[in-house]
Amino acid sequence: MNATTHEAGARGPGAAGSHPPGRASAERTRGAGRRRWSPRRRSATFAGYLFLLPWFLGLFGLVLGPMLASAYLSFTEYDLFTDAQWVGLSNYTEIIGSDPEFRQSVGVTFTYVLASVPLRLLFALALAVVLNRTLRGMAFYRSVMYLPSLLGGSVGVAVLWRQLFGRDGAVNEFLGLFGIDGPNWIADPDYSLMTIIVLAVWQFGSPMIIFLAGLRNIPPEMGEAALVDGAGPLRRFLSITIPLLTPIIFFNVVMQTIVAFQAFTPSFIISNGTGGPVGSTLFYTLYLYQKAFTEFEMGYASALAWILVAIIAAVTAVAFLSSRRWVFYADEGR
Amino acid sequence: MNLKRVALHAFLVLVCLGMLYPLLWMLRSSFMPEEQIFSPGTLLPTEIVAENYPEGWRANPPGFGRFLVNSAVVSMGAVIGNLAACTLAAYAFARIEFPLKRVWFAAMLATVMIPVHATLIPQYTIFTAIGWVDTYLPLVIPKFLATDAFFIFLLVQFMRSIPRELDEAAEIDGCGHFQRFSRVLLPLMTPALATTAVFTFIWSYEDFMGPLIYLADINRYTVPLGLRMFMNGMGESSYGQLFAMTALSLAPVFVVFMIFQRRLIEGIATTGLKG
Amino acid sequence: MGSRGGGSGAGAGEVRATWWGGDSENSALNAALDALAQETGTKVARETQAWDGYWDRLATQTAGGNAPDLIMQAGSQIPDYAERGTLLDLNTQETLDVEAIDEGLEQFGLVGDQLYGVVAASNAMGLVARDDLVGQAGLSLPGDDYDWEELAQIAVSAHDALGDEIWGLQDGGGDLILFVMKVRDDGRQFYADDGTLNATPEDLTAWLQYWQDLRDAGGAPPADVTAEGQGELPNTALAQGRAAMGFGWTQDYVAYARLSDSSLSLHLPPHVPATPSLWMNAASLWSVSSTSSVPDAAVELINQLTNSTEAIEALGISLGIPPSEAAREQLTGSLSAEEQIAMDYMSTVAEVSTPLNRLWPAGFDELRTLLGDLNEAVAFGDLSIPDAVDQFFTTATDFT
Repeated sequence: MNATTHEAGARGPGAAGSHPPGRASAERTRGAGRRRWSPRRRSATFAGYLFLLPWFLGLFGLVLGPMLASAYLSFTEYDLFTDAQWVGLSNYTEIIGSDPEFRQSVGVTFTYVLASVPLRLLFALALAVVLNRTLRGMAFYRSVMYLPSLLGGSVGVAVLWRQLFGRDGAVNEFLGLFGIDGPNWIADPDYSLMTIIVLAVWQFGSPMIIFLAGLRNIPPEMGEAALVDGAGPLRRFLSITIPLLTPIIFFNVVMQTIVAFQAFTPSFIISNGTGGPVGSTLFYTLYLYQKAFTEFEMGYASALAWILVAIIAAVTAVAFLSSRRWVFYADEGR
Repeated sequence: MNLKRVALHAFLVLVCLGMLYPLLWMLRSSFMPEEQIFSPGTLLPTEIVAENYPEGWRANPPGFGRFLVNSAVVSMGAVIGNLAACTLAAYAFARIEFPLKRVWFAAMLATVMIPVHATLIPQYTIFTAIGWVDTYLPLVIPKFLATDAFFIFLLVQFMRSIPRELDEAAEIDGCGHFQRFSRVLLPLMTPALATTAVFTFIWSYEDFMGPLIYLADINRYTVPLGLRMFMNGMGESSYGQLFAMTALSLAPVFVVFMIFQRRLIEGIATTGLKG
Repeated sequence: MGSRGGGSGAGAGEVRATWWGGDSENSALNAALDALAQETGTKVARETQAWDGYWDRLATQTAGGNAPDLIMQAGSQIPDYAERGTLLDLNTQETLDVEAIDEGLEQFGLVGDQLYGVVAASNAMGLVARDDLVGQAGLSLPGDDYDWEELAQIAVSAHDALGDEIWGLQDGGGDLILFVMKVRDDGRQFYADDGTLNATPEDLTAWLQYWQDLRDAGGAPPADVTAEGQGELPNTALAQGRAAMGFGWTQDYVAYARLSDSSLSLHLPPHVPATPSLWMNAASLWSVSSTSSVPDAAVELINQLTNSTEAIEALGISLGIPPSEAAREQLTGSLSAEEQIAMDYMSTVAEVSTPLNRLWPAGFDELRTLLGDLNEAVAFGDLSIPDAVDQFFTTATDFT
């Protein structure tokens, strides 16, 4: 699966980083005198690694070790307190071959990702566009829209959500006005996952802010040029704004997907760590957590972790591959 | 035109109300006595009781004020760290050509793919070995080492939407990479930097797992740890105080957000290309 | 690795102690430890934590070789920690002096003949009733000699009298503690002395069926009402006034009483005098880490917390009911009404209970979660009772 990861990354910045032919040759001609590549390229290499120095220190000092440790543990039986015993692939074969809870959690997680990511991004983009306009009080609206996201995974959220989606909760009281007798959203296995999706959508603040910042990064003369062409607002939005925003859209799609695959806190606090009712909110990372910290099967949990890494890497790879077709970078001088 | 504005306001107010309902419920609960909060049928308090605030503030000595200060220290340290380290790394990925760049970029993305619970214990062992447990260092120093790949990637995307002509002009003027980075690119990226700052602040501020694992002495506790203490799995929970302090804990982040949100939208539109 | 044993921030000879709790537990334990420090000069570095997260951190610290010296433990967790050698056998500590503790509780932390924890506070299971609903239904609760069938009849007639949206008894089918009580009611221990299950598939079938029948008849609320209150006391059917009765620990009774506008009473669960099903339970225990560099000082702290009148006074019943008669006598008169009721109830339990034959074996906690899941699945109609019983015993035999 490492191969996939690398390929994903390789394609991504590759597509991104390689200069269009015209520019690249222009650069070369500029440096033609000392071209025999050395000094110039050597200085670029030096600069590149220098800028990355802090990151390298973090990677090798703090991040890589624990990752390798968990990779190793995934081939062992490890109960946290006594030494790990090498068991080869058996954790992996057990997970994939005969673990109903694994399957349950994959199902729950994919449903969550497929539902929450597009909805959250649509809300975020739509409101970013609205909030990008100039209107008195816009600062206030922006802040209010972000408020739910400030609450994050705070413990109070669990209680709030029960008040909202309980049997006698606010949602059902509202529906009652129209004579609709709503279900017990949070406690009914058919709806409980939906309430967590709603929570994710409610907290759309972060991608919204990133969209807003992206919209602001678009040079206004681009839009002005289109204005001269006589394009209507919708045309301008679709053919100018959206393409220029694609790097940011791409970022949000990739990161929100990764984050959604790893969603833990909402289900943890709302189901009180159980993933219930009847496993309906058993998110993948919640299951991993239960294995690791309540059943003390850290080896098994580590294998779960690396299976998730493989899934995420595959999805990310697809995103990067597709990005060549729809993401436009200003630094590629189209 | 006027009508359009009114309609826009109406729309936004409506959305805001929907968004705010749960928060308003929380605020209302923070002013109610414990036994009324959950009793069905009482939406509005019959009498407003403010004592949850002073009681919650004083509970769990050294108390909530201290937790707020601790959180502020940790969060600001994290902001400085992320701003310094992630921008540097992002510049390298976005603007410099060097061998193995793609491999490192992929490695960076891979680091965000592994669930935290799988690496928690090895990481704890490292920090124990270097004697950093029960200090803020495990919460802050990693930020200075750009371990938040989320922000590196974010900043790369923003840098890449800035036309290369701008820094090439500086290159012709004889500016090295560092000058191009600090004098040309960074000023153009206010929204992205503000985004990084705001998110880092908020996410560190609300982080539960890191402080839980690394902070032992209650005098060093941050807000999320303080809030959990109102919920007692083995006995009485103090919901009124929990809501009061949750509401209160939103205030500083809200203020930070209000201040920064102007920067967030101060894009190229006002600072860059036109000038 | 300098911090191993000596620990984070703790000076030489200092004891690192950790416990879970909120404001009341913290201030009580701080006061007690301060008082003891004055007396004995032992300094204690304190690592308090909310229940939420307590176990994650303890597991991480222990795995990282940095466990605190004095550790608050739970009866359900001790086996998992003890079996893996992370706790000190207190029977090897000659200075341990905890004879004041009630006979039924003294051996609670015993695994085989090794003692891994000393009870810090006790509790017991009880039947909590809302006086308003019970009164409205015109019912009276039986005294100290009644069985589960009688309880079911009362629960159903409560529902009949109180209407569609109010039920008699909170669903307790998923509570392994109650199931253990039911098996003991029938005259057997739940676990054999070697830690294998004494309970039979027939026992579990009858148990799950009992609750299914109760739900069908309206004696217990439907699955979604129960699920809504999962893990949050204020949202349980009892606290919401949707159930007239519910089982709970003594500390839950105090919490319910604070949350509810009705007055609440605390009764014995179904009880057959010939085969008492109740036991005095450990709400929490004190254990010492096997890697502690100051085991003597940690043991001395356990002695003091158990015996010192200053410590007893400072602790009150914030951790639960004190496990010694002397402590309970010392505290009488200084408690709130609900707390006094809980403590009086414990005195009743002390008379009508018999100790567990052994501490829970490893895997108990997992089984406990499993029963909750299974009963829920049965209640939602997702799982048949025979399948649930199969799953339970498959998992249970995995441990042994």
